Amino acid sequence: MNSGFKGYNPYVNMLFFISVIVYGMLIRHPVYLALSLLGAFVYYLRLKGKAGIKTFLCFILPMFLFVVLINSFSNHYGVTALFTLPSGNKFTFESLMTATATSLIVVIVMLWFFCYNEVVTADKFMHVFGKILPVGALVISMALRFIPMYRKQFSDTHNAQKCFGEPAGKDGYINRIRNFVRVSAATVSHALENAIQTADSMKARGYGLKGRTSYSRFRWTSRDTVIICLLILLNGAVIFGVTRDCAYCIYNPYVVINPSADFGTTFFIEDLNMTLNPFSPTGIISMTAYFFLCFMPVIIDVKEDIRWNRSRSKI
Amino acid sequence: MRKKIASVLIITLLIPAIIIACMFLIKGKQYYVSSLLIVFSALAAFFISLEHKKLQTRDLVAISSVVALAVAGRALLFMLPQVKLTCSIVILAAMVFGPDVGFICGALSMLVSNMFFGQGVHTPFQMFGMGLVAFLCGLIFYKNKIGDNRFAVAIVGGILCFAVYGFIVDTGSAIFFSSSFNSASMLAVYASGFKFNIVHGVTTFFVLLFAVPGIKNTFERIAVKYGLFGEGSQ
Amino acid sequence: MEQIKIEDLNFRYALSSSDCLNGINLTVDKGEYIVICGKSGCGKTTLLRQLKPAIAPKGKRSGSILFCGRSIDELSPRESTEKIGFVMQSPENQAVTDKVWHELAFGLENLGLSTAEIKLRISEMTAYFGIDSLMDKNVNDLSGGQLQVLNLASVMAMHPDVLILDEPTSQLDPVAAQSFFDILNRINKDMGITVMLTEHRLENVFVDADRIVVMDEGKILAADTPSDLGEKRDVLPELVRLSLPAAMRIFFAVDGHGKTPVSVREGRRWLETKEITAPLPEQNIQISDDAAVKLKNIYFRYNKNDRDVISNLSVNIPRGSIYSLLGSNGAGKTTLAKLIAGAEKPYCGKVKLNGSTALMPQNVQALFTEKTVRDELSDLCRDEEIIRYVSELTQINGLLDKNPWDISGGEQQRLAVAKVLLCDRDIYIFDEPTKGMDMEFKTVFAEIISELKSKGKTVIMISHDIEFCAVNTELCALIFDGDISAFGTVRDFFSNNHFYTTAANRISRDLIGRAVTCEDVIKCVKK
Repeated sequence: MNSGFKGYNPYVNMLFFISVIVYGMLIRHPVYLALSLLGAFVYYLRLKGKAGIKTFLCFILPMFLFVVLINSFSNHYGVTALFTLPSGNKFTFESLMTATATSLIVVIVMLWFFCYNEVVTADKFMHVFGKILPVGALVISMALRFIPMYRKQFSDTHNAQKCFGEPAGKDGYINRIRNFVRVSAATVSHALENAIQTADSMKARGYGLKGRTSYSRFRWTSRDTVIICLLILLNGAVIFGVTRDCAYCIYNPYVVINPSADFGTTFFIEDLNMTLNPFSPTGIISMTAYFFLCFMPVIIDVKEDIRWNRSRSKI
Repeated sequence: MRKKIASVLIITLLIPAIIIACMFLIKGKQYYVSSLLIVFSALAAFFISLEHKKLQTRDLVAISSVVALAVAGRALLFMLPQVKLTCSIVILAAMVFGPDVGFICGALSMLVSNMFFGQGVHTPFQMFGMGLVAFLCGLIFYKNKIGDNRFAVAIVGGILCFAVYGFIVDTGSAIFFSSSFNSASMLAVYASGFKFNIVHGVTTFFVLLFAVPGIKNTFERIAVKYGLFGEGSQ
Repeated sequence: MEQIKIEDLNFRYALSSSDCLNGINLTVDKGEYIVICGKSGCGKTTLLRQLKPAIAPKGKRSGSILFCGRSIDELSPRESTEKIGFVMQSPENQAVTDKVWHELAFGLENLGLSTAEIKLRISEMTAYFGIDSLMDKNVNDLSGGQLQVLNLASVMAMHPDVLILDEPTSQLDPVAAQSFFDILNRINKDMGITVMLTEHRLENVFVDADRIVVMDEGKILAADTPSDLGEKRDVLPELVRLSLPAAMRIFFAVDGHGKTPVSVREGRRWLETKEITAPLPEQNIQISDDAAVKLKNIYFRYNKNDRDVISNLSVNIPRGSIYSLLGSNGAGKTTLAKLIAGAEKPYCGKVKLNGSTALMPQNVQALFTEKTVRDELSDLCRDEEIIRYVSELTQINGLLDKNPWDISGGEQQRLAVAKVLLCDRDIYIFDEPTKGMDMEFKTVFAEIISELKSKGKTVIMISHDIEFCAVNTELCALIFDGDISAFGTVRDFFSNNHFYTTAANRISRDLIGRAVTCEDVIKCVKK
């Protein structure tokens, strides 16, 4: 179950997801968008298998198109009109580009969050959260245990009322609501009264003593150190590029992608009023780093698969 | 008191500082980042206060209990699936246990409930929104006689749920989904959320209308019986 | 070496006008196994909680409690957490976190131990208690018995010197209870850890215990070894005497001399020396031909893809009888109750009811929705006269103005029975009515069901409590694997079983034919 990237320490998982989600939300440069999208999509498919394709086709793709349409039809800035809408407004290339970029951001962040939900399980979240906010984490841990208990108590109470008492036939809508509130109030009573016993048990077991530690089953191993160093390095390279305007792009009033070229050729596409210079050395370094960052979980997983298969074949 | 002034100062200075810093530093997504940062700092303030508050063990368990009830109430009504009880339960808890406890309960409820339904960009906004609704209800009704008036509670709760929670969550997604601030695309997001918010507000209104004498008394009875949150003699 | 010394201890609850504990003197040696018994409300739990300052009730205390020569109040909170382990009644409520491994670690985290130390202790505990396979599970997925063992293990992980248990098995079925006691006995004998335990089910623990403390109304009446208790038989209150192991009860009733037998084995040896004077008089059970409940070839499952919980079950429950359905956990007893009560419908087969039904669920707290006991009752019946009659019958007439959540577990159980009675139906179904209840409740409940029978009602009891069913019911059926595997009148049923039978039957097997209850045996033995 916990193989590949999933098997790494929760801090590694967390740092990775925070990085890709933050970059995913902030960077609007098409190359970066493409890299992040691919990385997220491939990893998502790897995690979910065939079910992932279905979600992609039935949910993510329609949403992508919807956000593009909404944004491109409702914004009319830009200088390059592609055609005129019946309302008299112009449908511009710039607003189409902005809409696509925004929509890609939405999709990318969403995909990364889907991956996050698969990888960072409640246990891992609690491990990280518990180190930062121990009281909050304990409250959550108790709540997670109470939820199924309360569901059961609610349905027990509901069924118990059905089995005797109110004879059948008294069914009106108001009566049903009143009965529902009664059952809810009883569940609340049950919940809080029994919670006090839990509090006594906590005190009996020394909760509130000074110097509480936090035990966790997750170990920090040398491979976690390697990966976290790598993550920091890649983050550094990406940030280096971004601060040097490698990810700079504007979509309004006309499209300019990465103008401050220190190397390479700047293209100008006249029909679309678009300036672009995708290849500068700093840019290439930053983009390569971004590629490895976004594909890190996939690379780790595939590498582990290969190693496993090789060790099997040697037997 | 001094603490309160300090926190008000921090909030009034911090929020504009965040917005201005984002305007200058980040181009393109400044609204989104600044709103996220504001939400995060508000959540952080409450969670850090939870860590440092001298709460009794039973108070902590009571918070967990309320959170669990609120999350369990997200999918309780089998007959009406879109109806969620979370907001009402959190409001009732805030009315009896106080506004800051209410904020914590509200924020944690949404965090825990998203542990089942999936975390996303919406999580911090939902946490903040729910916490704020509870906080405001707590400010109005905590230790206040109006709290016994079911209509007052239901109307205020329903409106806050519709307006405050709906507005915060929709703003979060509107800024996320649209390419520019103040544009029609944002309105589209608000419009699409409108129906949901109305249902949410109306449900909260009705649930509170029926719950105010009964379930609120239950909370109060337990608070007094076990001396929760400094209630009673202890 | 004396480990705990209680001297002249008096205790009064904060809002009470009388003492709950009255002049308690008790010395407990290191490594002793002590069972404290007495009816509910006699002060057992209050006494145990005095030994654990963190959860001691609020009130006025006088006298002294010494732990290893030091006053218990002088112990630092850390010391008392470590040295004195406390296991409570409800398995569900005392677990704190959501994961089994975290539950084991919880106390150790509070003590501030390092990760390595916690890991070591957890691995030791899981190996000793045999719960390694549960480590990754959610606490909610454990059965009651497993959960209580987990609670014990997580207390033991803190390496206590004294283990205090407050009715730890009252919510468990007999098999789980027995295995819990086996573990407890092992801890006591293997490691020399002092055990102090309160319990209603004395049959199981008397054999393991070094001393029995009998309490009544806040006083200690006796504190002796189980067999020495025989000499003090006259000071024991009636209800305690009724809950003693079968061998002791028979021995006392026939005025036996010599060493008091405690276990079934000792009881058998003693009975072999006695002369059997009279044959067992025949029971007079009249069974009506008319069926109140008739189930024919029914099948039931909860979900389409699950296995059948009830399969091809047929049963005929005669009108006006007291019928008990026995069987182990998961055999389908509760499901059968729901099917009879109409809360669930079989997907195949016929349920024919001759009259209306009322079901008292196992979880009686599910019945309470009102603010006072009086409202709970008047909600079902407007007639003051009937309410008065029922509340007197169930002995809750003193509690009418209290909140149902402020009364004790036994009182809640009686209130639940009262609610069911007020429904005024023809067929009453009780799901585990005596679970965790003391003799006092059992006596009241026995009166109630015989009253119901005299009115021509049918009573169906679903139970684990063999001893209670043997005395108070007429017909028994054993459910196994969704079907009825044995059926008969009480005597036929139990005397045909070898393992699943009463202690009195095991003592008298082959000596007295078909004796099932202690009274049966007593009738046949010369005084």
